[in-house]
Amino acid sequence: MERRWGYKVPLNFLEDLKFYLIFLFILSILPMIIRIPYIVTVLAFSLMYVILAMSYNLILGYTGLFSLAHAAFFAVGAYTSALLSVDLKVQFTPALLLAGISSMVVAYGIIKVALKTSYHSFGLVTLAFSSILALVYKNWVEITRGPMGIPGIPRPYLELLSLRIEFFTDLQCYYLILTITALSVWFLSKIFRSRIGRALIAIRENQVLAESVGINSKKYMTLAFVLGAFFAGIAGSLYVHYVRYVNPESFSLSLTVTAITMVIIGGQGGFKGVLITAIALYMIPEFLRISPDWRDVLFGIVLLACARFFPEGIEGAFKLLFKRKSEVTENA
Amino acid sequence: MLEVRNLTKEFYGIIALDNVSLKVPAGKIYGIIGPNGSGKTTLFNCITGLLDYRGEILLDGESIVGLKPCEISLKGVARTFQVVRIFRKLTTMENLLVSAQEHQRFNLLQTLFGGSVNKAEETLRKKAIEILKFLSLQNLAFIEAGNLSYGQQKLLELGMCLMSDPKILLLDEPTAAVNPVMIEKIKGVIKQLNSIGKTFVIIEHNIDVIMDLCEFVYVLDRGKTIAEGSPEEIRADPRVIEAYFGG
Repeated sequence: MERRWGYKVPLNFLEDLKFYLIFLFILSILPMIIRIPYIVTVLAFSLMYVILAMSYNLILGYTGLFSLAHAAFFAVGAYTSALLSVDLKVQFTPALLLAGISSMVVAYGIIKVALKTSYHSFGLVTLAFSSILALVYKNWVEITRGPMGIPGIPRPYLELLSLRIEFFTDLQCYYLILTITALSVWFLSKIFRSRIGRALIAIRENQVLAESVGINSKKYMTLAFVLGAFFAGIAGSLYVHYVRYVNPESFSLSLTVTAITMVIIGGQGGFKGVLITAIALYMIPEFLRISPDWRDVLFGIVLLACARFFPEGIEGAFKLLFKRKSEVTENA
Repeated sequence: MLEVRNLTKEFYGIIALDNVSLKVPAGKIYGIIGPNGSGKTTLFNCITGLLDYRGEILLDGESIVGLKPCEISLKGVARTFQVVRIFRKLTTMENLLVSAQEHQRFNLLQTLFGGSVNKAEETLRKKAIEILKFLSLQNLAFIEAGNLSYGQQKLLELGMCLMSDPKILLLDEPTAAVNPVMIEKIKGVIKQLNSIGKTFVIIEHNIDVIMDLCEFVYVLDRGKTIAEGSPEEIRADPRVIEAYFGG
């Protein structure tokens, strides 16, 4: 069978559409089957991690930028949305969009500086910026309320003309988060499967060659970084409207480490692998009742095992397995 | 076509290129030879914008000084590298497509949602298939390029240059570490492309390739042009013999 656009980055989205729809269907019916509020909350959180991991996949997996600021973008989105909703009584939809945009603006400032440094310094520059932001949240008490945090963030509601749709229960909120996650993943996959995704992989593979064939690597890196930050900001906004509270402790470096783990184990530059891993890596420690400290240890062990035994992540391992199986069948 | 005027490049006080000048007319194959470390690849790196320098470089009479490598590529300069460079994790087909996509301009929304980008992609794909057939790589279109043999990777590199329909191709040792059969194939491809008007500048150590392909040759030694002329003149030039074998 002729592969229309090539094997790794098909521009045709249909290849993933079936998987995407099945995944969406399962996540839609799961809370109806298991009617336990705790499960709904775990599912809602895992969806936020899906957005976080998929957006980080654009930055690390596709572009190869080792950013340590993803939790900071999540935090910028979370605080923007919280402050707009609580202090200025802004509705959910504009607050959500402004959360993403504010993360984009911060990301633009960071990448402008970080791209002037060497590849290895990039991670340190992003880490420094996220540390500065963490200090701002803790110490700018007049605005962020410092370590006390911001309570009383309203649950989301949408107002369309005279129609008001409220998402006050966890289940209603879950379906809103599912819808936004589905849209975010769809948009990100459009980027992955487009010429932009192909250019980003080219930059990751060989930046000098990419430049030599006309790809403006700095422009594409900025685009990937800023778009990744936008979706991290969206995830942050969803988080605060679900939890209804935000404080600086919610966005430690371990959130970035979790996103890194999800992308590396799922398969850098993959789609299905990262999607599954994001949900699994949130749910498994949650259901096993592993404490957050031990969760980092578990992630570390899984990350090491992954780097040793399947460096291309779950997606790469499955591709290799199916390739070997088909070779065995052909030889038989 | 391509003109280099008084190009000088220093690395921390060490002069890699010293007032080098050359002129390459359109539709010709010119060669650059010289011992290791004479500055040949540095010259290519300056022309393609990978290194900054003093002096002037003109493409079709227009200065390309200070332009970024991607901008120089969009102006019609394509190159290959001494040690083969391809996108190893992309397929052969994708390597070709990605090499030409930036030469068609689309904004973000058009790229993600526009129908015109799909039409443009279809055109590129057809062109890629033609190039793959021309290079006898059509059966390897959908395998990861990193799995190709070294010779095939060299051909792919050449194909990537052709995708953007450049004005001039700079080939850095196109036959290095390639078996004799593949050398003949690469030579044939270059001759065929030159017959349809493509301009080449070739860095090469294989003197037979230079003699066979080039109309004019520049010889560099320690960053300076020590000789220039037809391949026959260069072969008989005592300065060239001295540069290669020592006095």
